[in-house]
Amino acid sequence: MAKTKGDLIQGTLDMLILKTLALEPMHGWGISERIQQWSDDVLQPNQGSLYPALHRLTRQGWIASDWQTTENNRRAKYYRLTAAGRRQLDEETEHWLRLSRAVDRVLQTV
Amino acid sequence: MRWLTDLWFRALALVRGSRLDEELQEEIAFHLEMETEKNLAAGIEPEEARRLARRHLGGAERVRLHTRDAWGVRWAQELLLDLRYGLRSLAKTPGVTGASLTILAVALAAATALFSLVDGILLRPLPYPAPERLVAVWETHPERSEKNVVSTASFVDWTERERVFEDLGAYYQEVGIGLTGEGDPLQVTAAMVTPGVLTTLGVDASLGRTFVPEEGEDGDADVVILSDGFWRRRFGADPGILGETVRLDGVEHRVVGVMPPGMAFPTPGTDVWLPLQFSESARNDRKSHSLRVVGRLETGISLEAAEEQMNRLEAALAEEHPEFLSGWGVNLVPLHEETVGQVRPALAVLLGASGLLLLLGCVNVANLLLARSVNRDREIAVRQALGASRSRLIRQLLTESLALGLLGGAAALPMAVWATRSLRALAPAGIPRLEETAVDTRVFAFAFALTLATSLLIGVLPALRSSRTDPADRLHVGPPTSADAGGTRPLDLLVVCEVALSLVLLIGAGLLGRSLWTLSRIDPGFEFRGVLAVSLDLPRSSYAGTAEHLRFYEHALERVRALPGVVEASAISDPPLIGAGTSRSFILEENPERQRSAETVDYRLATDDYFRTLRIPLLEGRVFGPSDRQDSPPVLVVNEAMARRYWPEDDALGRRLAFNAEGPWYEVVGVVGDTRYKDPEAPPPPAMYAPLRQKTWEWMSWMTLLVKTDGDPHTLAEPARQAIWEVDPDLPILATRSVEELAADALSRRRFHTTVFALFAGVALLLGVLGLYGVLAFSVERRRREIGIRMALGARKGSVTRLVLGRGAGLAAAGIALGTVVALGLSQLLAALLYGVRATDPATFVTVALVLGTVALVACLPPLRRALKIDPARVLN
Repeated sequence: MAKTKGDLIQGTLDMLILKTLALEPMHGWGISERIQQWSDDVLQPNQGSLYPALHRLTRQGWIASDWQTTENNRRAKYYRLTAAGRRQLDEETEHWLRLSRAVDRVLQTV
Repeated sequence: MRWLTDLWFRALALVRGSRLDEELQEEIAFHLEMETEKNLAAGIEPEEARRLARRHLGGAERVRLHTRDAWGVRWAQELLLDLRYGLRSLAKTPGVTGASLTILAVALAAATALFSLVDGILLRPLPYPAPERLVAVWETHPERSEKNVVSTASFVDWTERERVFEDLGAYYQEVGIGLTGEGDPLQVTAAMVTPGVLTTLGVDASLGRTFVPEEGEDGDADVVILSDGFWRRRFGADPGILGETVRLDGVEHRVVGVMPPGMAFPTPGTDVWLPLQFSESARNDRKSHSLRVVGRLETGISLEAAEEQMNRLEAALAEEHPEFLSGWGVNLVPLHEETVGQVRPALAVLLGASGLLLLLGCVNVANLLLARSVNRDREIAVRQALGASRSRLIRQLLTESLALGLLGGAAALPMAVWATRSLRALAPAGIPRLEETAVDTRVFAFAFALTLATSLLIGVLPALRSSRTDPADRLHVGPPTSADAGGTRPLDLLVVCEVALSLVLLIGAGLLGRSLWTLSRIDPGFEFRGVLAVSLDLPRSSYAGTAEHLRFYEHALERVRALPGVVEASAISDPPLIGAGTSRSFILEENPERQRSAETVDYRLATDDYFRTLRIPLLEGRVFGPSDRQDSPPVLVVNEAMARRYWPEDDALGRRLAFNAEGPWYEVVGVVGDTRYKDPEAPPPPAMYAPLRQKTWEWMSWMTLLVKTDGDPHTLAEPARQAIWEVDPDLPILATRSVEELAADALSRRRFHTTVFALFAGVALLLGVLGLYGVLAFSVERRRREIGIRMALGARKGSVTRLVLGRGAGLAAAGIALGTVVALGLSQLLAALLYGVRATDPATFVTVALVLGTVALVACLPPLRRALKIDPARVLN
């Protein structure tokens, strides 16, 4: 795994999970897939850290989960965003944008 | 609210962890399936598709473990596990565990009980509003006491002119008065107080009212306030008591109020409060000092500033009345200090002793735990080899110690309650505020935290030590060898400390014990065996004056003498060992200049037989006889101390003195031996005796009958009471006790603190010796192999004995040496409590060291026996 793509620092993974769930409730594998698709395969969440992150976010009350049936008629645990989670997402998004703009500016300086 | 969600999640995870785990496994399985399907759809072989999916996830088991970590309950789960394991492992060594628990509990309980007592008596503020502003007000004179009772006129002048007190009140120390009416006449403890006393203290009645100002001036004086306890005991807490009357000293008094429970002023035993009124002559009486005064300082004025202002006022008064007041000043003492100052040194010492005991308890537990841990090196090495991290090991051992500490604390709490109660029960009467003490939870918490910290600290040592070495090394070693002896060095150090601490406490107990022994063998100057003391006070309502008093005492003594078993009977106004005593100032005939208002000498009325009843020796001249009548020339008998003080060069016989410049003159007709008075620790004070028949002060209405018998004086108590009631059926009898008991009572406080200290020292000795025994036994156990080899190589019993005893003796000697040094420093703190023995008394130090050394050697014997029984053939195979 090249360092240039794929590895995500923890806070970023949390933010991406929240963002994914902002659209609709989803199970763990689906979240992983969707992040990969949306980033045009640039971001590949390490699936080893996906589940700990999901459980931690649940504990923090930002997402909640229940068991549902998938379209293929399989039982899966679906996560959805809570109100607190939505606020957290907004906060983190804003924080991220500010940070990335700042990094951009630094990089563009000659 | 997020923390609440968090907590809820964790709690759920803790309680339903297995279900969460199942769900997680299902979740992971689902993930793998989806990933595999995706791979299959991409045209990958099924086998390879599954492998890739698993690789992509990064190992199902690892994901599971990491996710469980995210629940945030791992530590709690492990704690439960450790706790279970710890308890099991504690149960596996019941001896050590039991000993540690007992020691912990005893030390904790003792420290808590004693500190609770000290806290209740010394530290907690008095139970009045803004108690820091309350002061006791005394007059002072360089030649009299620093805390002299106040003259009525001074008090009246103060109340009119002072500017420093919000309120000021005067009272007489409790007096016993008779309650008559229903049943046997009863003695109640009354406090005569001006209304200002109650407003100064800021205590309101719980029922009815306190005194109104007029009742302290010229209003109705026949009113009474009852104490809560007396109201409940005597009147069954009848709320209708207000307005009813009770008969006190033969006079009907109207009940106007009931005080709240806990009102303990002037003393806890006060049953009733009566208003104190001053007659016109009393208001101008500057000569006799008899009042106690309590005041509440104005807000914002300091004690020093108030005292300075009062002294300025006293100086101004002295200019107006130089003949009475020159040289007098005013002394303000915080009421709290006044109440408990007397018991402070003893309690402080006891507190120090309990602190040492607590320390000793901690050291002892440390010792036992450490000894235990040395044996667990291998267990820890195994755990380490199996992958336990250092922090995990530390946590496990901490949990175990925690369990021990918690169990010890749990055992100590009921013991502390019990010990506090026992201490209260053991304490002699008259310790101020004793009834306010209770087990203090803060104190218990502190002592508990201390022992807990100790056990935790010690518990973690083996884990720390083990991490220094490679577990492989320790897994290889066979049975312990002498090389391991180095591991017991901390143990040795602790044992030395223990022995030293025991020695310090034992020396303290030894010094106090010697003081008590010296005091109890002091010659009081009289023979108290076989004498019953019956205290009486004739109420003014039925005994108007001296003639009535004389008649009564004559009849009463006659009846008592006639009782079977009575050898003789006499009477004295203030018998040795009880009573506040009465003292008078006087003029010497040959040296009238020596009269000073400040100088007074104890004055007692006695019947002719008094000196014989108590076997007080007549040194010169004669004692009273029938020839000393009301109309014959007045005479006095003085004691040796008085003769020596006033006529050091000449014979006292034939000297004359008077209580007023106008006379009459009293001739000294005899000199008798000194008797120790109220305080057996003080040298006998000068005293003079006047014959009862020549009594002049009408108000001196009290006498104590002394009844001598060949047998047990207690058997005479009831007959004596009946004999007195034959003369006056309404007379309350204040007390009937044997003089021997009174003598014992006089030392009761000292006996109390000496006993408690000795108890502590006893426990300390036990702990110290247990510690020594434990370390030796442990060391013999560890060195079995070495000793076996030595024996196999021809070492004789003598050299094994030297090996074991030498080590024990070495430890004990080091402890004794250390303890001696510490005790030399600390025993100075005891100086205030010692009598007839110096704080560095060599005899006590040597004796205690010998005792401790002997006991220590005895403690070495069981381990020695075990060492000698070692069979080389068995330990070496």
